[in-house]
Amino acid sequence: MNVLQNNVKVKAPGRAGKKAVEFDKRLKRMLRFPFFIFGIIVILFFLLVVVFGPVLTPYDPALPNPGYTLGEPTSDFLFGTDKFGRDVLTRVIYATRLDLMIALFVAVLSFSVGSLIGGIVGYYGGWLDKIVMRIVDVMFAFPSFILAMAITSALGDTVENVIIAIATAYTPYFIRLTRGEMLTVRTRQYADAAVSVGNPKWRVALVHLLPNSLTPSLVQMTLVSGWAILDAAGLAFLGLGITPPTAEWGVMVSEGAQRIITGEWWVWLYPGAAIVLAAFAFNLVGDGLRDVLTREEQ
Amino acid sequence: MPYLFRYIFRRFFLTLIAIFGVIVLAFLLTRLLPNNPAALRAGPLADEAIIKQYEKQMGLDQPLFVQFSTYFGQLVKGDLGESWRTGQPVIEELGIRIPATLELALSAFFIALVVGLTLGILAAVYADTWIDQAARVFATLGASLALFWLALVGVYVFYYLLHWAAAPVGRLTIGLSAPPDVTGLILIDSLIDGDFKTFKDGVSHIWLPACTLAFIVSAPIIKISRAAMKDVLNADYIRTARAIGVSSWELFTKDALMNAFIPILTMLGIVFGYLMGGNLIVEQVFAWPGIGQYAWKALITNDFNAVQGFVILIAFVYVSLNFLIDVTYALVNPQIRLE
Amino acid sequence: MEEPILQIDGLTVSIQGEDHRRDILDRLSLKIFPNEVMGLVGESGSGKTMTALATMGLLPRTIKITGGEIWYEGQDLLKLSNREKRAFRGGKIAMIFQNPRMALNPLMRVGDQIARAVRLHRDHPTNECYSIGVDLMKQVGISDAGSRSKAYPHQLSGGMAQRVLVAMMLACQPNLLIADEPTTGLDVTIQAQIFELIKEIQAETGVAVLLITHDLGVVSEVCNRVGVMYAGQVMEIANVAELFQDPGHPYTQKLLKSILRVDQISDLDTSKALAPISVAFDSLGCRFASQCEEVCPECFQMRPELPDDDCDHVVFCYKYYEKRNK
Repeated sequence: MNVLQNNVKVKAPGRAGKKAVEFDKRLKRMLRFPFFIFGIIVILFFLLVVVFGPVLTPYDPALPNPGYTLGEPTSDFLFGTDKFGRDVLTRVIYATRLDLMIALFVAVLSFSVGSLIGGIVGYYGGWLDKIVMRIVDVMFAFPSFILAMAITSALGDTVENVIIAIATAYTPYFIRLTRGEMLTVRTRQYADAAVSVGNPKWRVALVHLLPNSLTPSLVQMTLVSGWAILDAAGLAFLGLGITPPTAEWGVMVSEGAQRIITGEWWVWLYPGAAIVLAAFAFNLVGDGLRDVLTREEQ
Repeated sequence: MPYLFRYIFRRFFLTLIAIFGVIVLAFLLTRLLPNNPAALRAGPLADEAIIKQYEKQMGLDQPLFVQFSTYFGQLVKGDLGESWRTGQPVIEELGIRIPATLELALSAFFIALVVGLTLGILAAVYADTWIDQAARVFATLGASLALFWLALVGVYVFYYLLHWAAAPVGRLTIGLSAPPDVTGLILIDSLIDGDFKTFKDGVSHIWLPACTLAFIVSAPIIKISRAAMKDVLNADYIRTARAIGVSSWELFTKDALMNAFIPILTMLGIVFGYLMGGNLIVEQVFAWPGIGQYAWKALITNDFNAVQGFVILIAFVYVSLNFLIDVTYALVNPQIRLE
Repeated sequence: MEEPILQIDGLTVSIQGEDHRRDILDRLSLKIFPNEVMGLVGESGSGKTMTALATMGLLPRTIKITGGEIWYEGQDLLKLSNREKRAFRGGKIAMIFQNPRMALNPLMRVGDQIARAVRLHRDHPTNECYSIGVDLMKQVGISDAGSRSKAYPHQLSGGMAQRVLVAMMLACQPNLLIADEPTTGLDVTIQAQIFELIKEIQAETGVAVLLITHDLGVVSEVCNRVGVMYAGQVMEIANVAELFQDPGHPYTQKLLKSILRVDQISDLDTSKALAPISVAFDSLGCRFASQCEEVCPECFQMRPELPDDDCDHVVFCYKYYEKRNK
């Protein structure tokens, strides 16, 4: 009997006992991040709404219903109705699909473009690096919301333009992140080894180095998703990008804003709460990922 | 000594490049994108001839390079063009509205600093306790709240329900006149004038928008001051100071805070950026007569010159502020100052 | 027999893991006498630094003292309040660490930092503290002390910085100085200078020194007595000469054998024959047992009680006492 066996004081470590202990440990480790779990659950919930949305509600988000405008929440209209008599809950559900789609596209777009540029620039260096980084500096000279706002107003008010505008505002983050990682990673030995065996440099960069530079970017992607929702809604609130009658959270809040002094709170509260919930979830997941990933490095 | 100058000069040079880049970017946004600015200006009812007239007037028929030189030349003289909406020089219109925005931004910044630094530092000192957890949740919440929604909630609760805040109609109650202009900041000017009634009125109008902005902006402040303080507290020199028996208070102020100050300072520039983005929305909700509201009106009416002017101004302020922070950093950090 | 200046009795220091408690130090006992340089050797992770931190009351928040006593001049240090502990630090027991440049506040001039130590521990009016500090700098061999005192830590070399720290500790006028691997990262020549300095200070002021190191060569040159640690337990304590000539504990023997030549300066870190320390231990037995060639079954369950007589050579091993009693 070797007393140096393991850390855990287990009474009778039979096979079933050992498995229970390991599961218990993993569960405890996950539960140390309750907020993280909460964030993931919320996002999954939103995804369910995105997929099953239309099925969940009998109403049409766009159809006005003059009979019951600005109605308080009732059992028929759980979130009440807006000034055109449309069911707020239905519109929130449809808006979920739109806003999450925007978040997804912005995150993926800025991540792909930014990481690619950052990886290339980080690997090759030289004057290309200097020029790109100066451009990145210029982009960082604008607060991201204002940059997205300027681009949207220049391009025009469509959903695609909003996505492009916001993605453009966040691409520099990924360029900087990936470039930074690439600079550390490219000096590692396996890169030299791969090149010396005969792989062309670009393939080494793409296949070996780039994937290893992406960890912080993954965290950033989650955060950017949350920010994208806030920005898109913010732009819509100001009347830019996505406009009425589209069902989008920001649009709904702006429509409801006029109702603030007359007291119909449900028109703007629920869509706004959805924004906050979504952004909160993405932030929690992003922070949790960062904690988990940095802890592993330790 | 020379290293310090080289450092500052290098930063200054990079700043100039950034500003130049900003100008180029702003130019490109308006000239190279699908919408024809002349058509926008002329309006939806104009015909070909009128559009052509506008093009000529706006210099859009010139080659791009010429357009840029004219544009650049004007900018250097401080001429941001005229607003399409009002016909007035953009720079004047912005100038009139800057004090309002400044007052709001500074108030919000001050509140956010006090709250954010306190919470962040406390969270680091009492790491892994409930204080730490609470501060982090508060920070995440602040980062997730949509500013415009929070503003609406604030107006609904504090004005509509509780009547603790004044109506969101601007800086003062309608009908009340502003105190004589010394700084342009109503709160200060009314105090200078001895006019407490106006001061109180000003406060009742500014506290809600300022706190709303502050709530959002305090989130990154908490995060970064916590991280900075935590790093400092784990440093070896803190252990040395403890080992010679330095009191907790002196340790906190002389050793910890002073060293955490530097990374916190560099973060403040970024935070200010959030503030400027947020001003736009808050001014809209509270009918605050600042440059944010001006920019919004310009956006809605496709007043390109005004939008462009606003964007350039903001970027210029942001970049200059970061430069100032860099210089302060260089002066405060002996490793750079004395190289 | 002299009274020891510091006596550690059965000290246990633990960290609370997820579902178990891990003992970083296990019933550690040692004595330090006035006017001597006592060495404490062991591999990385053997608990040497923890012992020092526990004595100073500087353990990190997650690590707690779960047993034993530390006696200093008749007082149990572990029973003191925080404020009393703080009075001890520097004043009675001082400590210097590795990486001297990082151990100094980067924003304060070194002269001011030493002056602060003087202010805290000596009764001098504030305006004199700075010049006393400069004198101390001279005492530790810093040339041009006056202008050097205006320097910031990043402007000093490693050796210079360590001298500054020694000066700071001297300002506190301690009775016991703990030096935790004070020359890690420094040049070999500078290392020699620092140890010379420590010996000088010891001779001049009569301060007792606990020198923590993994370098047996240093021990042979600088220390009077030495304790050998492994995995949080003390294995053997002896006079230096006797330890090298007649090591009693199997671990010590293995240690000495793994060095090419006993009189060469050698580094315990490079000896590979010994197990990693990160494994946690459940029993109250000797933690070297699983690698010991002379192990007997009791070794896994418990460790020998110390004989009552205050002998110079203490070995925590059953086999040793068996052999001695034959």
